[in-house]
Amino acid sequence: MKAYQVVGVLVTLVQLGSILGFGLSLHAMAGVVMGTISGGEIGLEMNFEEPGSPGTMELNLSPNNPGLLETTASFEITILDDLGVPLDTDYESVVLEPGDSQDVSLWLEISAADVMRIVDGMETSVEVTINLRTFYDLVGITNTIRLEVTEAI
Amino acid sequence: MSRRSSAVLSALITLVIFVGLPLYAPSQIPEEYFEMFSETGVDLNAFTYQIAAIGLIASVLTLVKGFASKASYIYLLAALSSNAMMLYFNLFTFSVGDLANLGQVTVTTEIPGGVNTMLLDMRLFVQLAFLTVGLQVIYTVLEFINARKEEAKAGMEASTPPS
Repeated sequence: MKAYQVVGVLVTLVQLGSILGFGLSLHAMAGVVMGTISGGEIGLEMNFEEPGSPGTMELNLSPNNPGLLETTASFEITILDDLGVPLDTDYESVVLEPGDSQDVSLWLEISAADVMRIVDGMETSVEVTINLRTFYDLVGITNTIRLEVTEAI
Repeated sequence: MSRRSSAVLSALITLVIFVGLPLYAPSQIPEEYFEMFSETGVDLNAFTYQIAAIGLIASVLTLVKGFASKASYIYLLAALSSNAMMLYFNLFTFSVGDLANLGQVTVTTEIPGGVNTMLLDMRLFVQLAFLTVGLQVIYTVLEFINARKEEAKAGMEASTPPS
């Protein structure tokens, strides 16, 4: 076998690997996103009792992985004040094997003082970040949704 | 199948996939999707025209490679240009039209009551595209050297009188 033929075989192998990796990665990430949205349950619950007491916010997700590659899914929720300063944040990361499903629960606690500021009309927003990494953590997608709290309620 | 007819077939397939399809497909996409894309900052029309232009150049290069002798400098130039076009196509596609992104694309859209930001990390495939094209350049040069050697050998044999 001549040198250029060996290089030709290498080119073919790298190209096949790239196409396969790309297809499997997209399949895994799209599967987790769709599985989280349609297969599981998403619940965002806010609890502000009477003024003067702390408030809570809970986000429940059930991500599942119908893809063929292991995927690491990280979820983060942050509540921010009118200056963009985080009032509280929670984070959870799960490793989803192919066909695996796990429950994720994120919890925010808002101090009584901050609840008062929100009640007084402070512009507050909630940021939810979903980060998916697959193909040995080499490929990923990060989606961040920022919503005004009034809209979120 | 001869080299020439396989080059014509290959050029035709390239033309259909990379020129015909990108120019035809947008007419089948509903207007609201175009508006959605324009909100993300991606100019879908410019993107498809660029893909079609790349496809047209790739088809011409395929034809040139099919008709030129493998030992000619025209073939070498066409093959190297073809490799460069392939790298450009990969960079362009994985960076959604902005080469400076190098496979890391951020798309921000306004949603009711807030903002949605999506970051796609496809840098691995851009790196693999660089590796593939690097190997293809080596392949092209080695193939060219081999073709030149074989041509010289055939010339020597033809010019040597039988004893």
